[in-house]
Amino acid sequence: MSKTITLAPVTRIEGHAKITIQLDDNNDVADARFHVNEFRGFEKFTEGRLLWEMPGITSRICGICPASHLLTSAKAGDDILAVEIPETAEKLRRLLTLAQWLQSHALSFFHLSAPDFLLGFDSNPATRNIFGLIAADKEFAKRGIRLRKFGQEIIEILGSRRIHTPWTVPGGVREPLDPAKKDVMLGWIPEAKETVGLALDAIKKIHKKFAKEIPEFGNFRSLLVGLVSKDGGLEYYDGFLRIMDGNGNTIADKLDPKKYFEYFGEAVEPWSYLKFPYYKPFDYPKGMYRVGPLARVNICDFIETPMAEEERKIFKKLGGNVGVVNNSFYYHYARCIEMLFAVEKIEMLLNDPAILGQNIRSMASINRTEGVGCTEAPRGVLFHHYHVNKDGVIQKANLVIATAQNNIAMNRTVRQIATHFIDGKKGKITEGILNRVEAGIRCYDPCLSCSTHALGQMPLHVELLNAGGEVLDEIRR
Amino acid sequence: MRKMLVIGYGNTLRGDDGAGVRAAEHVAVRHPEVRCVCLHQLVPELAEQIADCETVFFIDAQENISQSSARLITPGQEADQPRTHFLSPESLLTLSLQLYRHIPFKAYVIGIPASQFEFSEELSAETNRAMQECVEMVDRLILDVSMENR
Repeated sequence: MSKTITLAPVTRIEGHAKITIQLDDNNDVADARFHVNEFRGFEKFTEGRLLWEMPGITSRICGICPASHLLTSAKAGDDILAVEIPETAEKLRRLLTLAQWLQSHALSFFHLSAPDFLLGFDSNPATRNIFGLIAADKEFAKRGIRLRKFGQEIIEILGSRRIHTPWTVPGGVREPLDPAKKDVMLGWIPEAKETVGLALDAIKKIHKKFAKEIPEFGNFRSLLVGLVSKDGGLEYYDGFLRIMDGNGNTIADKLDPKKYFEYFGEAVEPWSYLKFPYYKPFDYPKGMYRVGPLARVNICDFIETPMAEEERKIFKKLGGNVGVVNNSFYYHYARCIEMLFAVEKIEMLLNDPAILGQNIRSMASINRTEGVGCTEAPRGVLFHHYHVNKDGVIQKANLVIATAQNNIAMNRTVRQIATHFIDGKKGKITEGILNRVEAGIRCYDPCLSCSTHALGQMPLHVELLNAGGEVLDEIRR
Repeated sequence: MRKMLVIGYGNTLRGDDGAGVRAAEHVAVRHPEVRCVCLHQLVPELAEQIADCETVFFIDAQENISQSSARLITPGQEADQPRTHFLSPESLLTLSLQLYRHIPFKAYVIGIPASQFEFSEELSAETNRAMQECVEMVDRLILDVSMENR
């Protein structure tokens, strides 16, 4: 008789989730699923609201990456107004995007994942948290907190508050940058660079420490999707979509993000509220693709900032002859490279005289009844697609979130880790195994609040079930 | 005056849950010399600011109490595994102590009675009244602390 293991709730991720591991009659892992069991329905209740309200409403989807929704929503608004925003407004929006990346990546790496890496997957779960991290390496923990604070401070300076800032609007931004505030932000740069340098040193040690385990952490070929700049560089705010396969071949390039619905479909499964986007030409589920840092650093031809570009070259060597890094564990490394890029690029933007311009908003009324906004959120490419009537009232909204786009790959990762580490014959899950399965999910830094547009914390529940559906073991956190 | 910090937290879109934020906004107007911070939840980045002050007030909406009340707290930790991006006031004090080797001389948690948490930007009448009482309580505590420091 087959069995199922359930992990619920999953911890140190954003939202609620459950993992079930199904064993077959021989007590080997037959299947594993990552279930997302929360639902909010932002797409539905935004119907009837005004276009200009959408950045403020959709930024409430998430407390971690509200700026990404704000920016993407504003870009969908730009499209509906049919305006080109002023140069200063675009640079300020770019600054906000990078600040969002920095604070989110710092949270993911230093707060959520570092306890596993520094304390070990088998360490006591009671201390495998930020306090345990402080006990192990106080300076490292402190640096991580301050790096996130830097990102948050930029968001607060630009938008007057850290979370749910209403500063970005269709047509541009509300306020120009105060020159005195620019200097405050520049003052953080040396420390931020040093801290990211420490993170990069740490991740390389982590690669050595976990060399035997890494090959089982979501190591498979998939499509990789993200934005690249017009000349093929790492992009975060605009540009074209590029799709690369697991062998490093670019199978589609210079795709217009506004036509995302032509390239990607969204499948649903009865056991999860999280949709399963796939690449249409390959159908579901073969059209599995990954987005986010791993995809972005893989698909770009270069990174425009010098230190991050050097790291990108080192990163690419991990792909060996294939030239593409397919192992999901290296999301963490890619995230650190993006933190470095963010700090370097923030410095460049702040030193650009145009950042202090006063022309920050293009005014227009409704000129189209449909618009798409697309940016690279910390976790991957994000689409907001609105239909409005002639008065700008939302008739229909579709939000395609990064975490959802990684859904098929996350399930594949859970299955791979479960198959490798779980001995179903024992009918028992150890804390170490539970944490490895969770850590596999955390590679993607999923934000389930965003991806289901859902409300809540992110505990994990894991269940081990037999073939008859009987619960053999379960762990909740 | 020695440094004081008021942290009001909660979700202003969920009715009474925003009472702590509303109270901190009032305190900011009445006491420009006091640093006031309004947030959805307590985050680790606050540890540095807390370590840099001598008195801290955490103001939050609270169910199952009948009137606004203040209690002194000391460093501690959640019984279950601490969440990584939001913390209790006690955990935050612990974080300040561990990272910066300093915590405020006095740390107060001030609860405001709350009962309505549906989608709304308004406080219920009862919570609004209690929020005003809370602000007056903070007035008195700020005065007391200022007198002690003279």
